[in-house]
Amino acid sequence: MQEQLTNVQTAKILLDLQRVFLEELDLDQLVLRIVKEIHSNLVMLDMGFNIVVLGLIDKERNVLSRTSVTQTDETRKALSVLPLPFKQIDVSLDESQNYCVSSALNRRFQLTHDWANILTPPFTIAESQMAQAAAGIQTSYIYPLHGHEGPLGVMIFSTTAFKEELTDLEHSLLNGCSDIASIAVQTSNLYKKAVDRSKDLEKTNSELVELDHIKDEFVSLTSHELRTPLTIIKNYQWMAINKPDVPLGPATAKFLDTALLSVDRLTLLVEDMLTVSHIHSSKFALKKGDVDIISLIKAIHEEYSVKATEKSFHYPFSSDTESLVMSLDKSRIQQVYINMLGNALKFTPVAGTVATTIQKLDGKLHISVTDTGPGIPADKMNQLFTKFGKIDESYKNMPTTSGTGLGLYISQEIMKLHGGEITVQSEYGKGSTFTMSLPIV
Amino acid sequence: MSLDSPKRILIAEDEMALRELYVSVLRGAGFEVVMAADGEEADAELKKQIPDILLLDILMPKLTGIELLQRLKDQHRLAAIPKIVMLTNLTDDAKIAEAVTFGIRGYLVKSNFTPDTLIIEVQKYLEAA
Repeated sequence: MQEQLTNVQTAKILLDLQRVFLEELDLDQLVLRIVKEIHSNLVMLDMGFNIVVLGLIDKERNVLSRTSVTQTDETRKALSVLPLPFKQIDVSLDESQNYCVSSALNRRFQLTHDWANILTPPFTIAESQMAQAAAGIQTSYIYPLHGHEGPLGVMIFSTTAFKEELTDLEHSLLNGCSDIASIAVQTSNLYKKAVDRSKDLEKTNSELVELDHIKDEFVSLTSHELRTPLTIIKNYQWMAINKPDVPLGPATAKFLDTALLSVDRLTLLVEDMLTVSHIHSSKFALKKGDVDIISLIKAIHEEYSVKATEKSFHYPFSSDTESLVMSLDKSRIQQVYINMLGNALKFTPVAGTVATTIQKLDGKLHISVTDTGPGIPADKMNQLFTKFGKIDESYKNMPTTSGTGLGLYISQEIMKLHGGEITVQSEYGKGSTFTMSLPIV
Repeated sequence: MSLDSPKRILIAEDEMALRELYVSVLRGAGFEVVMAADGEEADAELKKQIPDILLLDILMPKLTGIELLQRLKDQHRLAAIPKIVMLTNLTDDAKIAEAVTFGIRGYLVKSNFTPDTLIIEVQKYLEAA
């Protein structure tokens, strides 16, 4: 009947097997399907194979392990005389005289009439030959399975017929079956890796979320605890400066003044840290009320004119709108504008320009502060609104600047809660424009 | 409103250093000041004499400021206290909002004032209707 095997048949069988194998991604199911489907195709072709075995390499244990086998009478007979169950038939990869090992590792087809070549070890020569006799097997063909990362295992085709050579077509069919099994096993391995990896990532991710939460709690608690001693230090320093029981010398007065300035800075830092941790734990809520935003901004602008005069700034204010009542958290919006204005006043060199412009445009109110400060390098722009996003150069250029680096981050969060945003345009070396935009409802 | 008798202030603040400072500053400004180190002490002082203004810390051991307000309300003693101002270190709006439901006059964030501004704030609250 073997003359029925044609190239067309071979190709069709292999394509069918490929489709059936690749549908199964779970390795445990796949190995069963491989031996079953290959065997039933070989039976249909009347090629006389009685046992088909799949053995896969287990790298961790350094063995080639029998993984699946056809459920035929010959299989049962062979296993009934072997002292180990099928799944425990492992052979070390160091046993290079074992045909299964040498076929797999050297990627080589082999034929044998003696099962001692494929079952020793783990079994003795006598045990192997007894099993072979019980099943009535005369000939076994061993084909390697191979993937991108090297040897995967073997397929063993055994028949009760005594045969020497396979025809070219038979050989290419069995070889093709083994190649398709290789691809399927490899795909399944990769799939398993991907699933494991994504489970790992999910786990890591939830650990990171938890860690971030712990960090926020820590920052929140620490900031709370810092405030009381800070308040005490600040108040007692104030007393020492303002109500001393002995007159202060000019040096001592200066020491105390400097210390008080630092306490104020520290207080601001602690408040910023607390605000950030509130933002993260969603405790940060707006207290909205009706506010005339134009006069609010104008008043703050005037309040800061003293600082502008100190540095001889050109300090204009212009608005295309007289007044506009909006629903806002007044103190938070104030905080955002003061942050923008304060940064401009801080970074702009003496006799520069710090201009405030208010414009209605496209259903939004835009409040801009333009300065002639050092500007922001293009590659540093995206760091601005991140936590602790101070630009390195700002330290170099302005050794006296202080700040937590949290201001713009907090400001952006405040604007987002108002349905708006802060944007920035800047030319390095020329200046920057920060704009807070609010939707006009 | 009598101008001759000094206004009486009860300060409930658990942090000793702050309590003593507030007392000495306010006494220096001519007020009569009584102090309490926790909610229970404040409660006891309130039973002895009602102050013109109660400066009440929110976070205190034994009995918090909020718990004291609740007790005073439950015992119908709250309305007898003319003015209550919370002292707080928190920007915890929830706690302040809770205190507001008891009819407090306002709150002072401790890290925001220095002795001189404390006197001004207290005077402002005392002079207000």
